Amino acid sequence: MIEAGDQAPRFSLPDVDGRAVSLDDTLQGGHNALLVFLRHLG
Amino acid sequence: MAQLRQQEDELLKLNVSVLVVTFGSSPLAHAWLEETGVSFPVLLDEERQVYRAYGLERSWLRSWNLRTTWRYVQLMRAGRRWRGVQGDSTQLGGDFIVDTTGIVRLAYRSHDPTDRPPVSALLARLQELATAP
Repeated sequence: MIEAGDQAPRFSLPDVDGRAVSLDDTLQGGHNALLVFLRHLG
Repeated sequence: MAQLRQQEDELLKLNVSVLVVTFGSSPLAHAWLEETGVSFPVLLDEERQVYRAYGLERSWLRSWNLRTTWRYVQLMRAGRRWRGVQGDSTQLGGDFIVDTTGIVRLAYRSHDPTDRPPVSALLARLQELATAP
């Protein structure tokens, strides 16, 4: 189970327009990332 | 999500990229984007591999209770269109902060669909990271 202090699992997923977006690309821009995983309520 | 959207300027100032991950399909995600006015990138994880990688569970028991039903009623009152429950209603969500080196700095898994960390708590953690040496 991933907790604070662990390496974040890397991923690459398509956005709604089909473009691949990866966590690594986001971080390499020098940004901290906030990942929001939706539940069925949105 | 609406509260997070209101903090868009603050998030930009803190050099934070928000990635929204959904297990819904592309048409559903488009509809959701239109309704919520969210401008953050929305990523599709229909196979839920990334949900699993982050330890986000499915639970029928935790997903359907009075609080969830009441939240649906509130959303409909606020003008959200009722589309029925789409996709897997038992999938739970969560919020994670990852720093520029790829380390998780905050992990929050929802106990039920109405359970979200306060936006103020997320911002406070992001502010700490932004000012850390």
